[in-house]
Amino acid sequence: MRGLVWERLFWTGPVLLGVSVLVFLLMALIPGDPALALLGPYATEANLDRLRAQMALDAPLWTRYFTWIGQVLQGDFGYAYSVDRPVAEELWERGRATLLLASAGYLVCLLLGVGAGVFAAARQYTWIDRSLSVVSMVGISTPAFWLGLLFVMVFSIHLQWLPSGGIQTFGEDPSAGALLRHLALPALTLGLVAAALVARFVRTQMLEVLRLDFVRTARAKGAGEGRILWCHAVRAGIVPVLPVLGLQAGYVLGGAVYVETVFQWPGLGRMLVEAVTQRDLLLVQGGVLLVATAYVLVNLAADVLQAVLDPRLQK
Amino acid sequence: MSRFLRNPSALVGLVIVLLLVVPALCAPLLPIADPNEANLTNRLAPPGSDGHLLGTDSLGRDILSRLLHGLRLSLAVAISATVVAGFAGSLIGLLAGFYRRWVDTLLMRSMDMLLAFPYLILALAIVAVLGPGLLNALLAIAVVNIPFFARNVRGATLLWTRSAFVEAAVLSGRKRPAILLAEVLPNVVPTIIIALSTTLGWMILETAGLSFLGLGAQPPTADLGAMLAEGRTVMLVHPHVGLLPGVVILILVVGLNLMGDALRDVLDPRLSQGVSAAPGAATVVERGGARAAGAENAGPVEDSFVDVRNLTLSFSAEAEGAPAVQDVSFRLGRAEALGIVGESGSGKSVTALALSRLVPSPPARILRGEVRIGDTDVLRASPSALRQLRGRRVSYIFQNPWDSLHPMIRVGEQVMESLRLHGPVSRAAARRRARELFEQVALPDAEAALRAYPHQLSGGQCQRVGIAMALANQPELLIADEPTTALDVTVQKQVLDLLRQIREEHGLALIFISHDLGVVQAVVDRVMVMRRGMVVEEGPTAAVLSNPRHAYTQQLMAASPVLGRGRKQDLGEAPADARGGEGA
Amino acid sequence: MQALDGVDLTLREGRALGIVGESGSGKSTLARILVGLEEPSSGTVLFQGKPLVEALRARSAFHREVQFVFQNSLGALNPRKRIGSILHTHLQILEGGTATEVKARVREVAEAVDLPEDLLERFPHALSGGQAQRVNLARALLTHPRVIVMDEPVAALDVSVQARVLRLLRRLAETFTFTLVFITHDLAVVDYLCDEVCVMREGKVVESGSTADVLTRPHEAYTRALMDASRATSHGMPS
Repeated sequence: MRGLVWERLFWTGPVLLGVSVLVFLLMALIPGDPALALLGPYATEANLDRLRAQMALDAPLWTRYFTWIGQVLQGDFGYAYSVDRPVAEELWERGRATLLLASAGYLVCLLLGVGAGVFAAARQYTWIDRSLSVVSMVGISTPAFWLGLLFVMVFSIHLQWLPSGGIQTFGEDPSAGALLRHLALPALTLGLVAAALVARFVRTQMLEVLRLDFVRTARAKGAGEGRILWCHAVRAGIVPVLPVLGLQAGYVLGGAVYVETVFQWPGLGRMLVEAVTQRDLLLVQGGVLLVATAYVLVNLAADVLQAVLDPRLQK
Repeated sequence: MSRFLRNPSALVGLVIVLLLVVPALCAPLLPIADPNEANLTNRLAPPGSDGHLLGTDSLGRDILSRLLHGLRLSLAVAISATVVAGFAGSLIGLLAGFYRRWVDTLLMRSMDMLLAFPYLILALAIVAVLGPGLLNALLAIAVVNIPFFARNVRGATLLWTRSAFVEAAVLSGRKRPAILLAEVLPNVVPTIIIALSTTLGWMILETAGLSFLGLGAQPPTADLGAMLAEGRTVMLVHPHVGLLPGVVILILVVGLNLMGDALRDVLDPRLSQGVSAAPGAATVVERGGARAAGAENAGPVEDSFVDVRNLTLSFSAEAEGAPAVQDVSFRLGRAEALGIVGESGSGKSVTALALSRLVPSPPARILRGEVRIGDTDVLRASPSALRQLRGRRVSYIFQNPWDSLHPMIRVGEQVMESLRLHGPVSRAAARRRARELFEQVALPDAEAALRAYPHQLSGGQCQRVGIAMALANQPELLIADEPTTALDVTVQKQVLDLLRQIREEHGLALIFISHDLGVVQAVVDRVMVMRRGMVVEEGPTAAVLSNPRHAYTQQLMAASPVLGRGRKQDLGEAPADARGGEGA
Repeated sequence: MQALDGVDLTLREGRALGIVGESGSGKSTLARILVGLEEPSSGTVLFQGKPLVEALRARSAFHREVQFVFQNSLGALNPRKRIGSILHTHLQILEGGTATEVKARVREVAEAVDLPEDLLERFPHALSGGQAQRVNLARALLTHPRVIVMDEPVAALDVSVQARVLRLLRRLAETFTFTLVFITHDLAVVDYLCDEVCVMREGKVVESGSTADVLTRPHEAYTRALMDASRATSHGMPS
């Protein structure tokens, strides 16, 4: 196990390095004057000159990379002209909102997806399985942004149960309850769409496991079906696919872009869309770097968890 | 193709897709308004209003026309992006999987870099660099999907490249590139097609998504995602403007995904072998009307412990074919040992599993017969009665020692589970008993073995664990289904010796299944030879071996070479119908 | 990890050698080295007095002379090709010749291994295990090679099918005259088929010699253990 975990940890370094190089290159290779692109159309000539000097545009690409990454590691992502504050401050504030939304959505996705998948597999070909299959088929085909609009129409406009957007209502005292009420719809939207994919995947996976010889052995021992499903099959079915469930975090983080836009959630996703629209490339650069780093770490965690739980990987 | 069309979900998907795609393709020819013709005097007309079947949007443009044109655009973008991503990704996957070594490392590590970004975020970054616009969105979506193709195709390529026929092609003198193109590629094509069809639906969603965010199609282009975003602004009063494009996307993608699923079912060889059916708790017993003749007066016979009469079982897959087990009857006394011998397809294992209804259902169904073990009527037993029978009074040893144990639970725990399923036993007591059992089956270092996982043990050791588990509750009947087939010959002998010893010590009844007469005779008192689901011959071991009456038994005996007879022996001519039996 | 450890073996032309061992004995690795599918980390294999490495530079020429039969009979046939096309391509690449010549030869060899002609039109999945293995034999025989190495060719077959393939092998050895290297776990099969035997264990040769000598007067304890195990499970001599 140690070996595998170390190997995985070891590989995370180069991957993060590659990510930073890619992010850097994306921005460095923009055609035209990068300083103009980075500071936007309303930049003063003095500011432009300062940035050009700071970026050392005539220096070789790799020196520029090291200068940039050195600043990033010190928490200096540059200045975002579109919001008129340092990129790092904006990332910190938006990042917390996205962390909350994405974790809640991911939780919904895992609980519903794994639960529905296992349940459907155990009841294969019954009406439960069939209706879950239909629901998950519709789920994977639903545009997240449209589902969000639908939820707003039903739960906010017609039923008036939950707020239609934002992270808190203006003029209200921020409280945990209020936060949860604002979180409910976006997290559900995000979780449901991702859960559909997980449910389909888990169902297929479980059906394969339920046919394996050790399940027959468990039956031959006199174990009941519930025990076979939850103690034997789920363990052997889910642990090997933990990395795939980790990859789902990417789906959730991507979906967060739509959901944050629909629900005006002040997170990184919406920030990125606004930054792209306004061509605030320093903000885009910082945001993409942050999200990708978080995603790499989630996948690392999933792999490590698998290595801890699967004895076959512990050689 | 015909198999594809017979699939109900394929048919539904195809109809849905055609219903949407045909009008979309014909949109310029249809008698509908120009999608971009604004009419500010007729803004936000409700559906069904004059000349506008689905109403108009906030600029007074015809929604139906915009939907159809938007659909055209979405399809065009999604298909182009799929083709670009599919081609690039498949090429990368093929090369990486086939040439392995540094090619694989280089290509797949680059893919890992792309995969380190959640794909919508990467798409955003690409659009940020290239600037918003439909073409740039297409490019972004194509790029972020390349790793998906590369990974899938690499996996398939790797699998096929390792298969024996690729080595056979080397021995046929084929050069490496020719092997890739002529031997590997045709086998990878189904994987590529499946990936293409899976991706198409996502591509539609993603194109619409980028347009919804204002980063794809720019106004006034009719695009489903952009229409949704526009409709959002008037959502409160005119919900249909925003809802309709979403409904169209949803239906189209459902149709595409249904077709994709069906395509996968048809093309994936594992799925077409019926992998997806998970067996239930017990073999289904189906009695078409009355009991079989001859079984009417079946009461328990005094001296027999196991009493099987006219057992007939069929796998519904072979609807009209012969049952897998047909009218098999036998009895077994307490402490007696019976060997069941036959080749593949003889029904020997199925018979053994049917004794406690462990034959997987679906597809198996027991059509008629009686099975009594002690005072239990197995075919009428309730689920809980079956659970008490299994592992307590009847236990099994299976063929494949590794696969028959749970790979992620310590073998000690697995034996303890057997004990604790059948009575209140404390963990500590169960552990002591498991240790005793391990010592009894001569597992070296029983204490360490308790803590081992199956993969840490050899095949012979795993089989000893299997035997220990079977003996845990001192069963009255032990059924060993080819317990030594997967083992080396010297290990096989040790396991057979152990089984013989257990029989003597425990005085339990034993049913031993094997394809090999020689293996069976080492352990049992009586043999039963089966062929194509029927009993061919039965009798005391020595009598059957020294004087086989049935031609098939004689042929079986003549078929395996015997050590010490050298080149003199004649492996026997197969009886006339054995040739047919070998055919597919 | 070493699969093979200091193996020395010599085989004269026209003889049949059985290599016997249990799992992990390295017998399959040895077979694969002999036909050039794997390379030894050290040591040399001489084929007709020439190092194998040199012979392998002209792969086609080498494989005309040295062929291989896989244990997994069905896996060794490309599932997307018809049997006839598999045999046809093999001969075409290795020897060339006109389409009619190749076709005639394929038919001739197919007949020698009892393959009915209509079977050539089928795809591999429509064959039984025994039929698939006879296709593999046919492929190996097409170029009339001097050496054929077979890796457990009957291990996965039912006993009666196995008997049929073994009888066929003995008959083919007479009509085609090739040197046979037969890998197996079953001493009784070696006794039936081979002139010479080589017993392997954990990558080393335990004992080798003429089959008659080794099986009547085994010198090594391990050989005796293998023989005991084989006898204990043989119906010929009830214990």
